[in-house]
Amino acid sequence: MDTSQLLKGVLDLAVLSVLASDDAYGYHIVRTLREAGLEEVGDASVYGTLRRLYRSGKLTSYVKPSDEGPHRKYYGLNAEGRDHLEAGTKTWKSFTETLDALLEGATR
Amino acid sequence: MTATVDSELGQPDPSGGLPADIVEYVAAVRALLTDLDPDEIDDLTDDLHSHLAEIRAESEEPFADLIGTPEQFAAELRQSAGLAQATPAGLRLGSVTRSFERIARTAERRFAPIVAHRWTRATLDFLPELRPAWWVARGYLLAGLLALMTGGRLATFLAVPSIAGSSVVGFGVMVAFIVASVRFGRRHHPAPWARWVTVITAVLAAWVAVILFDQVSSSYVPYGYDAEPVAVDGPFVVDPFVDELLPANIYAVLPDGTPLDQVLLYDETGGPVNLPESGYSIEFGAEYEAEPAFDESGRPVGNLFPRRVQVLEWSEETGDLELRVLPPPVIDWKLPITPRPPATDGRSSTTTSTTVPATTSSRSAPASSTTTDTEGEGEGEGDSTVTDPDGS
Repeated sequence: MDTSQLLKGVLDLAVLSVLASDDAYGYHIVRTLREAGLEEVGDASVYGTLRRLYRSGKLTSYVKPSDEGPHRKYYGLNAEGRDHLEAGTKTWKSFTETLDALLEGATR
Repeated sequence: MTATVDSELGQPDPSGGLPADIVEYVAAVRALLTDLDPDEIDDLTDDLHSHLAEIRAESEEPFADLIGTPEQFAAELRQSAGLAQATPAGLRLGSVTRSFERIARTAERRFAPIVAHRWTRATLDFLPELRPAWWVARGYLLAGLLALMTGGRLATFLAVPSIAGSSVVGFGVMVAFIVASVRFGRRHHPAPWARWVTVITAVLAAWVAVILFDQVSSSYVPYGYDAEPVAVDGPFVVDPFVDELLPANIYAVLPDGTPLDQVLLYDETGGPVNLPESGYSIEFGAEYEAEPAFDESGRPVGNLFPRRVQVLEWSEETGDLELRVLPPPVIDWKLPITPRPPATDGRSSTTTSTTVPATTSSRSAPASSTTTDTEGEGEGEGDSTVTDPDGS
């Protein structure tokens, strides 16, 4: 199965989890996700997701000038973002457990 | 000093000193997002310059090979941000709505804390679910618009519009419009004309809704409240809201065609039924005045019909406004009436005897045949609520 299809549903969670450790800007988030193994994550998808999460009040955002060139926009989790991540993590865990059990039954 | 800080922040020119392909790529992506709110475009692409610069630092390959073409990038941005896909270039609401957008953005900023509240967002999230209801309402209101345009009425019985003088036609058109509206709403129309249709129909529907609301609220007659009695006498209250619908005069005719002169009208409580002394006659398109009759004690008798009614008319002979006495109408048809069985419970006799004791009694079947026989003289044999003061 194409991983990018699976990714769409959980990109929110992936982005939030990157921001849980520290505030970050778009490119950094893309790179972190790729390094973690999500090779197929699209650059634009990350920016779109950030915008959507920001608009729904789960992120804070601020601009920082960078040494190398243009400014960078940093995003961070606020309380609602953390709640969302926590709830999403629970949902994800119970979902994967269910699916694991199903798949185990199917392959046995 | 301030200028340096500004350029460092990149606000005036974020692309300053960047390679041409980066500037081009960002411009191409932004150009594909122009239908969005300017703030939205900025938010989505603010970091794109620095993003591309970092990619360029790692690879010399064209951006299209690394992160997709600007078209793919823009489409992916929209999809992941939960925004509508692009409308094809060409006719856009752009220039017209720009000022509205500016106002909306200011409002958005000001109301941001309210919008960010959990309850507000729950409400806003719920709004899209009301869309089907809006589709139905839009179809109904546009059918009403057609009714208005064709000189029909907006809402007749059960709020069905009347088109071409018929509520049945109106009902058919209404159903067709609602079906069309729902079909249009359910489909996704990427074409720019669809957006125009949506906006224009929404404005028209809102306009019809205002008219409808106005009609419904003004035709609501609060009984016994705020209604100024115009009646000369008695409990029959003529409401000024509806008095245009009242006749200026009443003519009573026996089933055989004999006109009754001097008839008193009463309602079921025994109270006299009066008409206003003056008003506007829709039929004649003129103001009218009625001369009331007076009883011996000089009190006006407002329920005596037919009465003398004059309309104020423009006279071509004198070139002035003149009062003209309305002649009796030509009533040239008779109803084939079968006599009703007499009221046997005696209630009607009690009621009528209290109001007009001299002239009425409870009628029997033979009496009604007498009525048809006696031309002219039998006027006193009126129905329980129609009496002739001159009679027998």
